[in-house]
Amino acid sequence: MINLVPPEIKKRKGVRSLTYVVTLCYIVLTAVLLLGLAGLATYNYTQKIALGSQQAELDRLIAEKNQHKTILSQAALIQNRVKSAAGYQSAYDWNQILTAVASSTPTNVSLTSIKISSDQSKPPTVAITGTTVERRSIILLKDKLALTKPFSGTSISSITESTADNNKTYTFSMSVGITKK
Amino acid sequence: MHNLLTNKYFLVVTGLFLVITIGVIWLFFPPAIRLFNENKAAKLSLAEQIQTSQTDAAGVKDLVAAKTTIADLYDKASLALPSSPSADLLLLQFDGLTESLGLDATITVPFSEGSLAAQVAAPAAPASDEEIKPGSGSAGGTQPIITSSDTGTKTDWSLGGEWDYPTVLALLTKLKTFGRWNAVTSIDITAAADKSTATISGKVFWTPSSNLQFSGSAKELLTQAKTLFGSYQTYATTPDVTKEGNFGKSNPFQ
Repeated sequence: MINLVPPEIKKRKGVRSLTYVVTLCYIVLTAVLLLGLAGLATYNYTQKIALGSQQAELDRLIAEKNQHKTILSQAALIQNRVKSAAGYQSAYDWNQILTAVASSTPTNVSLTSIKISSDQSKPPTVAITGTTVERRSIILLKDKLALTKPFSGTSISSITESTADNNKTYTFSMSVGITKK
Repeated sequence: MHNLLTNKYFLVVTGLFLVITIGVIWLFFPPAIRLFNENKAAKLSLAEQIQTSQTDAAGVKDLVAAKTTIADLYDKASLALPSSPSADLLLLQFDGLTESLGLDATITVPFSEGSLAAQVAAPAAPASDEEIKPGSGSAGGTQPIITSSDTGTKTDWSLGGEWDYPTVLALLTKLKTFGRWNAVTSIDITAAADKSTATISGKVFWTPSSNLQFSGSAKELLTQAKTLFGSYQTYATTPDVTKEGNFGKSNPFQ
């Protein structure tokens, strides 16, 4: 088959169809651009509405919480005290210490004073004074205390001998360290 | 294509199209995308806040359900570690404690200067210099000795009396479960032929409480608090001027 259309017309036809294609591309590109913009704007608008309702929900929850402000502050104080309780526990069991002194005292020894003192800078010490008729019992008391928990570092400070009606009495004082429970 | 590129109308239209397109992109897209991102971040943040608030709301619901228990535990927690020295209530507590053991005790508690006049009558002025004892306002009996309060978050106290060894042990046992958290710092027991005297000294604590926020599980808190405060013993209730006392005298000196 022979194409009798002159080459000039054929060329013009080709240019026209190319123009259509390029124009179509421009239209499609413009449409995509506008649609994208419209889509973004619509999405942003719906998001704004959604944010508004979320904010309203949050405000409602906060208002509800504020209604119970008193109970919340009470709970906060309880929680604070529960958390800090460990810091206020005594490091020493004083009953145990006094009971240990009593159970370590020989039967022929009478204590005249027990003084326990402590401060934050050093561990507490127990100063014991007493009387007995046997010097040996004082040593036994010291050794028994040294073996008993929670004591440590037992030392005799003084022993004084006195005689009344031919009966010898020994007055002593000793110091005992205490370890933490 | 070559012919199209040499066509000046085509070039003008294409140029115009490109300028408009770039202009539209340049002008409208950045703010739209910025708004999109901002909304996205705000939505995430709000969702998190809502979730936290919902958890809090559930916690509050549990707290409200245990309102009475919370109020009771709050009283115990406030008594154990008050926000102020609370020396007046401490005195009543010690008074109740010694009374529960039937003891005649000398109680020394710290009073702040502000509350001193309002809470406890000042002891009578000494008649002579011999009556003045260093560091004390009275001696023996149940009259409280008044000392100046400590400026820190702990204050000193002491209990003294004619007590023997078993009484001191009983008192120390009671102090372990005493409603106000305390630390014994010294014990002095002296036995003479006719009587035995003892003094127990220590500290009580207080801590300022401001901006405390509750967080976590209400049920867990209730369990822990019940276990902790359940063993503590209260020996006096806080005086309530609106509910107790008879007031009004024609002659207050009679």
